[in-house]
Amino acid sequence: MPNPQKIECNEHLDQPAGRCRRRPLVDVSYLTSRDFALRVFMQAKQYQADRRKSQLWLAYSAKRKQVALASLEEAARSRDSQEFLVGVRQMNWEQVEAKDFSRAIKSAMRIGLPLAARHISSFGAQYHPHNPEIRDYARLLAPASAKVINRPATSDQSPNIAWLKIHGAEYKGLWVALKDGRLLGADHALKSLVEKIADRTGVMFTPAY
Amino acid sequence: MLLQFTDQTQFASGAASFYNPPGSDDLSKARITVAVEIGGLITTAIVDTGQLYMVLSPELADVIPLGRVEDVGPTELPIEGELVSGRLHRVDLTLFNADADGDDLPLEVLAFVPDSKEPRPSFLGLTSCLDAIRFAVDANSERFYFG
Repeated sequence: MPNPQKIECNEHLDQPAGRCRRRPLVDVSYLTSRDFALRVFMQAKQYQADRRKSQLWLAYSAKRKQVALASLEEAARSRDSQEFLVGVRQMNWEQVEAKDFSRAIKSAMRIGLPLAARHISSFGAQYHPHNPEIRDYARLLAPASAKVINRPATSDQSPNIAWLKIHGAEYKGLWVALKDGRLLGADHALKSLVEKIADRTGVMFTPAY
Repeated sequence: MLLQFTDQTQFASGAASFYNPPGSDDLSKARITVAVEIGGLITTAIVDTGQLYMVLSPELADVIPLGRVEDVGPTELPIEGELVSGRLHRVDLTLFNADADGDDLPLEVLAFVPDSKEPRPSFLGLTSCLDAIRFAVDANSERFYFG
């Protein structure tokens, strides 16, 4: 016969009365042994039913998630950006695994939806903060940002712009190196022009239009 | 002088001279070309609010340090009506101030580098580039305000 005194809490059935500091969930001291057994049996049935319900819910959610991801990929394959955006809005991103985030981000980029990709990657970073791939995507696709406010002007490029206004057309098709409104060199290839200029401080390298 | 709101707060923190390519009377080719520093190299870029990201000239991408290639799969971008494939990078961009009262504006932006080596200029697009700042254009004095 079970000892009602031992049922102090549902998590510590094996502990003697008084050892567990949690308050008893139900006062069972007045129950007969038959009532007590019946109660335990009913609770076990309820637990089984709840467990089955949660398993069914998990299976249903997983199936729904797979269907939603598949429809996103289908929209990307058919380059249907409207359908893709609807899918992004309807998706429950909280349940999506890291690898599926990567696939969704790549799909969005493939069909030219960088803002949707940014949206997905920010969810990814939220739900998988320790995944390096997702973190990289979120950083890469984040909005542009000003790095420093009020940095003193370092180099006035107006003289070089003025030179381009006057002489640009003469050097059309070439890269030119300019400093303080003077031409330092011109070349068809930027790489060789850069190599020719030893001191590149304040030097503008630009195609002449 | 820099632009201000009616309540005297600053709209722009700097201003740069820009130019249209000379010798062209074709208005459809009018462009706002400004001086910028990209990855430590001073160059020019064309402001194009119809463009996504900053588009780096492939030749420029060859000579500046870009760090590792960020792989988000094959990315395609329409550039001047042509679909171009390439890669995305996070790069440092500085807009140079030419106003007596202004400051340079350093930014971190998303840059697209085309795979093809075909020569093309660099562009400053809106999404993930110019959308981080306020900007205005005075076509008469050829000034590009930013802040």
